[in-house]
Amino acid sequence: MQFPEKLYADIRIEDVYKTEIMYENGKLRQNKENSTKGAFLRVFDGNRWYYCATTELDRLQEELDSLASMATPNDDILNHPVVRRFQVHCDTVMRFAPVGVHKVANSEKLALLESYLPLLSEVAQIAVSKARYQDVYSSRHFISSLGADVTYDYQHAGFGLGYTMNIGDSPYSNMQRLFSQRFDELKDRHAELRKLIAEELAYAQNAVPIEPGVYTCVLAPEVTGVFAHESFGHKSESDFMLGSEMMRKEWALGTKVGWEGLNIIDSGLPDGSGYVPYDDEGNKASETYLIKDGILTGRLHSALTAAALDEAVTGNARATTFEFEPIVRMTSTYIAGGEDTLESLLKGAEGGIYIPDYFHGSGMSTFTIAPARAYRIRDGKIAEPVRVSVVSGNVMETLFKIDGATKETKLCSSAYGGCGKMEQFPLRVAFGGPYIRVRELTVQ
Amino acid sequence: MIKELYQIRTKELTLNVTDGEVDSVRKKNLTKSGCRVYENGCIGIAGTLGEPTQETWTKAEETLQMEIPYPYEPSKNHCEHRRSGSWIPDSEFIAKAERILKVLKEEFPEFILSNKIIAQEETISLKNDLGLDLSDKRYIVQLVLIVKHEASANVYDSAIAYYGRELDEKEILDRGRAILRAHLNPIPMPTQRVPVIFTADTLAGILGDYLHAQKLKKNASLLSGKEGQKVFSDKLTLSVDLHENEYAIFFDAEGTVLPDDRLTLIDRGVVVRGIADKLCADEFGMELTACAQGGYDDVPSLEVNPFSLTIEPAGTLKEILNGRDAIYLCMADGGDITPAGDYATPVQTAYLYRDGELVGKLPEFNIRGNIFELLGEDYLGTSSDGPLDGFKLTALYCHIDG
Repeated sequence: MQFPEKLYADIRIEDVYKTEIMYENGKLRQNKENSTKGAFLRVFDGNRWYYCATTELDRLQEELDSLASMATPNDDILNHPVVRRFQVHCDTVMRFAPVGVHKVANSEKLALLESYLPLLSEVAQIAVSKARYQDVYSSRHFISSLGADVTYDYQHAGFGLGYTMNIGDSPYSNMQRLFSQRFDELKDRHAELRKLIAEELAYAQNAVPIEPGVYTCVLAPEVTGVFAHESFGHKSESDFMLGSEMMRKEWALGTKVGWEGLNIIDSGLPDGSGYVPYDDEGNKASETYLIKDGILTGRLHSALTAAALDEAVTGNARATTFEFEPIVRMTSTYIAGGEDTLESLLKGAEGGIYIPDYFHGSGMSTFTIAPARAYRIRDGKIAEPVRVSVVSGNVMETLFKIDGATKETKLCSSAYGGCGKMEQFPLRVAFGGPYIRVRELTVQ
Repeated sequence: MIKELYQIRTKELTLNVTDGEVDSVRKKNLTKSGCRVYENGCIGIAGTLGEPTQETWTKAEETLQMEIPYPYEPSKNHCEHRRSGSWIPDSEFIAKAERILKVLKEEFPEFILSNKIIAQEETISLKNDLGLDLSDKRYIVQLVLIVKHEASANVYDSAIAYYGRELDEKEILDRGRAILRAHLNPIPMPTQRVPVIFTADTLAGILGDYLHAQKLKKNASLLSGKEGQKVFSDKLTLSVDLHENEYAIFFDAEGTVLPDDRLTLIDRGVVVRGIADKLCADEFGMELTACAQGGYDDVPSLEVNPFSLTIEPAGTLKEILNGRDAIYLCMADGGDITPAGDYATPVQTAYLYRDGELVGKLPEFNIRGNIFELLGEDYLGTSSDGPLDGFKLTALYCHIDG
């Protein structure tokens, strides 16, 4: 590849293998395997970026030259603060190739999903069901005009058992999901899924409407994770600070932003759906403490935002697919464990609400969590089920209202969905943490 | 064996806006092809990026061995091609966008604008050996600018949205000015009961899910067993409408085309029929509603696309409100609906609407209500016009918790 002179340029080539199998009401409806290749090219002249997404990999030189022709050559491009933040790594990290899901026969995948279908048919109240298997094996190859040359791979496999239960006048829908980065780990999980579906049925049969109001809530690790992601994670993405002096003042490192026991971390290093050893600008993943002991200590960066704020890159410039440019995104975001137990948290939340799982969350000035299930807390124990539409709170006030976290933590990954930011959805991320107790959340 | 080719071609120019200026230009020109073969009641599919090759067709034939049942006749003997809008030169589009951004930045220097301005031409085509040859080529311009006040610690505070066939500078500037002026004027919540107004697609999406044939016919929907009954306001008529909506294409992923592009689902509050693809139509004896969806290499299946659904207007927004003030829900994200139909959401950004104008920004609040009440006695109607963000607006009363 001949990179243009007096310009910065990079190319990201993605090679993706995917399987999707779907049974609807016990009947096979979808079984597809595909392999696709695409590339995203970037040229920077110090003033403006020029991008192109293409599937014609034999025409990359032509596309690169075309982008370069739109740019203005810059004699000093190598000293531009953005360009100076691009790390130059030459590395190959192919962790999953030997156990790649592309090497597992389709018939094995089909048999795996079929083995779980009885879990749906054996519950009389399940009126409609969809069982989905999905796997991905991908490799990303990044090269730049500075000499970077990085290749890494990623994979996951998972399935979801989705259903609508016919419960009187209130049909209840949800999906139980499993995730793994090794196909074999998805086998023989019937007992745990059967138990979860039974819990859901009991919930759906007995839940009563919640009286809207302000409650203390105890969140399970997965819900803590979405809370960390939505309530604070998005605020730590530095592209939201560009052009705003006020944001820089309000978000100055060293500012107290939450409970003194609160630690929030983002890292692309842990295994799971947030694993990203190098970001889509070729910068290496790092562990970034966003909040340490309640104090703002870091934020997430691309080269562009790091240069604008005169800070170091963090390996968080990511794109969902080859069709998009990298922007600042989270990877694995989690709250660190504390000193409590679930029992001690529940004892301090009398009359409150326990939330074990969720449908979705969102975060702006107000964060939201739509619980899949919720239960009242009485006498220090999880009590009757309640129906809740949405739990919400002000982002900056709520971080001060956390007052307990368990030692026990869990990092949660998913083979389905992901994080959405503007046009780019879904991006695979992971999140988690301990059980936490949060006071004064609005529950409707 | 019957062969069928489903293709999606996308040509796109995207301008990224940071701090009120275009800082990057992105071009896309992609083709996604799905080769389908039908034989002995089964379907085989293989997809590829770019044009299909003999290898893609061979792979599609090989996937017949997976025995995915599809015992329905592919659509046939229909040749129709529709076009709307046309691509304008990149330089002209960029210049227009930059003029709009410059004016807004000069007139409202206290706001930081970011996000995307997109010109997109999408062509979807479906052809087969049985004489089916359909294509729909649409040119659409989208402008969604995220608005942040310089003195705000929020990630963002509001949004200016525009969707249309061209980048209409006057229309965009008028809308932008209306939002930004109102945002600079904080006002208290009205003391009297006033309706809320919001984009009608939200409502269409919820109703579409309730009308999904699998749920409706298997007693798994709040509307199960209610076909033929009047359950909503007589002002509410919902249809699949593949003509009115700029985002809908006139055929679905199975090649179904509706007579006059339209079929009524709820007629003046009465549930008439559910939404069905060929599978559901066969299983439940329903009419096809042209709602089969799926990716380029998927077996088509029934999915609800809110952009295919239209609520029949009850008049212009002005006529519906009939002199009443209303609260425009500009951003109300994160809410959900319980199995019993109780909907609730926080409202992050809202403006008071009076006599055709946005007069001021309201504090954050929460709204809630049961779907049968919201669309029953509390429903005022859906507008024929889109004076605030280009989309039709629904007006109704609900509980407001300040």
